[in-house]
Amino acid sequence: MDKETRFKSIIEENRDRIWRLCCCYVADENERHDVYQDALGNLWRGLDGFEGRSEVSTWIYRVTANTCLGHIRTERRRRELLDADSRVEEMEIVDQNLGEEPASGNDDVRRLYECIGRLRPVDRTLVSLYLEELSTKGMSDILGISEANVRVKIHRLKKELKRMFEETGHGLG
Amino acid sequence: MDWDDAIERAKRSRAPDVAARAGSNAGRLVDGLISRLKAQDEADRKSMRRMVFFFGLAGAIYIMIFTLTWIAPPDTSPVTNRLVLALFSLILVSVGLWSARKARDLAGIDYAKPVDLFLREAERRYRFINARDLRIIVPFFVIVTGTAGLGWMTAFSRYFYWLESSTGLISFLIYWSGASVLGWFVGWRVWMKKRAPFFYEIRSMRAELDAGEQDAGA
Repeated sequence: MDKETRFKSIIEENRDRIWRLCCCYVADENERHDVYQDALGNLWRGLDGFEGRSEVSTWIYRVTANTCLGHIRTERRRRELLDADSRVEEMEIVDQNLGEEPASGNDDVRRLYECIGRLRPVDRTLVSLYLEELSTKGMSDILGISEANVRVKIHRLKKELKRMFEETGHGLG
Repeated sequence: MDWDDAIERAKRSRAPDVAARAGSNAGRLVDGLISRLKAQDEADRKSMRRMVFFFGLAGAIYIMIFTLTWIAPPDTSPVTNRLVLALFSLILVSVGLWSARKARDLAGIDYAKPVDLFLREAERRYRFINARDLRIIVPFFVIVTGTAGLGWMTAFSRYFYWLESSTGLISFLIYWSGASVLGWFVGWRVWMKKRAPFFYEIRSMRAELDAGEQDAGA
């Protein structure tokens, strides 16, 4: 199977999970498409080096998570270059976009994604993998940290997310 | 709906129709992307070949001139002239090889590594000077200093022949130290402006990721 066919087949099978991961990192719809395409680009470039020693899904999650983290760094830098007024304006736009069905039309799921968007980048990675229902071992392989650490972090993040989720719920009335 | 339901629904929720959001069908989206990626790969390869060609050619020219100094020795300071030319050739070849390696490293960033390792490597790339580069930079700096010193002393003895050579050496050391400090300072300022924010951001991400290892182990 040539590279192009192999790539197409992998993307066909995993497009949804790549997209879902991007949803957890990027609030803005257009930006999310950019990150999604960047992730596909990095998958394409890395395909020759992928020897199948790990699961395809693990490889995909790693590449996508690293791409998203890279994007957050670039994005933060870009925002730092903006003046204070446009930064405030942009934050408002991002907030509005967060409300535009990140992955589902449901208000509560939307609110959940909004809360995820407020987490620190690394925590977003963990939550996105948790929502993919990966095992602790799977998350540990992707992140390169111990399983015990993954468990501790997930436990803490679930509590933090739940608190944020309930607070925003009260705020909404 | 409560928290648990929201989590369950988020886990079950399938990605929206990516193709529809992109305003195209999925196949065409991927096909278009593949074409662009292939073009980018080809452009990267061409750029790498151009760089190697340029430095290779410049190095070859200097090696040729160096060889000529043996066939037709220059009238003044033939040994110094040869040494300067030899060092220049060495510098060009080293810069060529180093640039090619840097370009290859940047083009070949491996996104498939575990996040922790990926961040560790990114931190190394964004550092002001990393240990691996020092192995190249220090010898390179020594060679450039030697070459510049020889050139300076040759010119000094030609144009300021009535002064002692120790004056020439001192003046070179003052000039070279000043130029080197200024060069490092400018490099550091550029790094602070362009790369340091990424560097510190990556470092904080790594700290976040590693935080809890001890607690988890306890």
